[in-house]
Amino acid sequence: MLKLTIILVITILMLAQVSAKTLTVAVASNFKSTAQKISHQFEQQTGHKITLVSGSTGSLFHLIYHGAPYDIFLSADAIRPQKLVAAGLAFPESRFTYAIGQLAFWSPNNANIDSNNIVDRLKELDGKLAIANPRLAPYGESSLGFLKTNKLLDSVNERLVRGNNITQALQFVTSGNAQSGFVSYSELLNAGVKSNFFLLNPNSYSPINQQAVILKRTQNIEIAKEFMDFINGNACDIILLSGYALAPSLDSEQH
Amino acid sequence: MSNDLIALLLTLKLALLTTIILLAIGPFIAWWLAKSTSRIRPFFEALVALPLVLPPTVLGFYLLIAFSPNYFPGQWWQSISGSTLAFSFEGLLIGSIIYSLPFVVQPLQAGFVTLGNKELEAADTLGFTRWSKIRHIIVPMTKRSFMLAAVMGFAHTLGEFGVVLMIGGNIPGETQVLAISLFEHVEALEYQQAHTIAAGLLVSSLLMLIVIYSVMQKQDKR
Repeated sequence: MLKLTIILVITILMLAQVSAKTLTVAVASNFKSTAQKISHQFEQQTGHKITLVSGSTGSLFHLIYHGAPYDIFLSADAIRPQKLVAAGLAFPESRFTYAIGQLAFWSPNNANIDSNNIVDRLKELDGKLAIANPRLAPYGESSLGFLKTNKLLDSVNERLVRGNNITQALQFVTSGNAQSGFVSYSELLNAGVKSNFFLLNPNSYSPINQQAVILKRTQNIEIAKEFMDFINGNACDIILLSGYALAPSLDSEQH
Repeated sequence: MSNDLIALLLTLKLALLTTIILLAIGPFIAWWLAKSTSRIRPFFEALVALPLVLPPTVLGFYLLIAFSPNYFPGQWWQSISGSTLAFSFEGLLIGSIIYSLPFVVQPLQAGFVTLGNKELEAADTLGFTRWSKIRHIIVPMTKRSFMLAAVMGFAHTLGEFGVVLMIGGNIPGETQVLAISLFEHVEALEYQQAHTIAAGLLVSSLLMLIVIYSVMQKQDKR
């Protein structure tokens, strides 16, 4: 019995060893399903393995800051990749905008809301309103910015619930616990939602420039570069189809 | 009042109410578990102990589903109260009661098991009513277990995190408890505030445990 237990324990420990050849990519939760499609294609074309780690941009930034062994960071904003570069944790020349996030408003039981009447309708809407935590997630920051510029914060503040990231905001609405929410358009598409949502006017909230960087602690710089090129090239179609916009010119964003 | 102070008061309120409610229902469950010889006892014993081994996310997930107005429990609650259980203090309270149940029931059960039948039989022959047996024999003899149960229930609710993260919605004054507040400070790299809360929780939890253990030691010596 004891022998068997020991053998079992050793087997489990050995199985838990991750192969060193894989690339670990930390991805903001809103981009996870898209990154899955991209890495699947990348794996098929190159034979390299990709492991995705997802969380809120704030959480991932925090983990990277404290030495998490990731090779690439696909952030949901531009600020945190910049901060990683400034802290000497990421390669400056690797930073680029891989996608522009689109904010959507979804209220499953209300059909008559659109970008023209949302400001008035939000004031009278019943039930909880889900957003991502503005302090941790860029989508949340933009959602809060939208509420502030339209002077809606006072009337909805009581009903606001904050998801730890944009995915949890969607999940609050999906489960029926919140009646409406500011969510990522891409995740709505991925969840198969077909109606009662609309895209917010991109000029009405601060742009969600999602940037990527290669982290200096990577052991696989060549594969990492290859993956970044792949995102910037072959994967553009996947990114567009997944509900993101692309940066207008790939050279003009290094500011 | 700062957000962290609000979170502190909210956390204390949650822990206090959870402990009171658990002290009201826990003894009955513990008594049955301690004295029953029924074949289904192990099933209920396991049920009570479940929160000890289950990831809080499992409980959080099921609560999120149960609280949803799309299903019966959430629907029923909405029809009587007009609001949803998720993202509300009442919802957290329900979660905490389930989550801290074994921490209250198990010390009580252990106390009741060691309680000798001799005294109870003697009380029976003296014609004690059920209530006076509880008041004059059972509670005095298991006072320590009650105290241990109360402190463990309270302290454990202070530390609740996973369930709250999933069903709370992070609303200041309603569901943003200290552990969540701390989490947010750490994630936002606000270490100064994080240190205050973390050290506060550490010291107060330690103090609570020291108090309970020193009381127990004194009683041992008597």
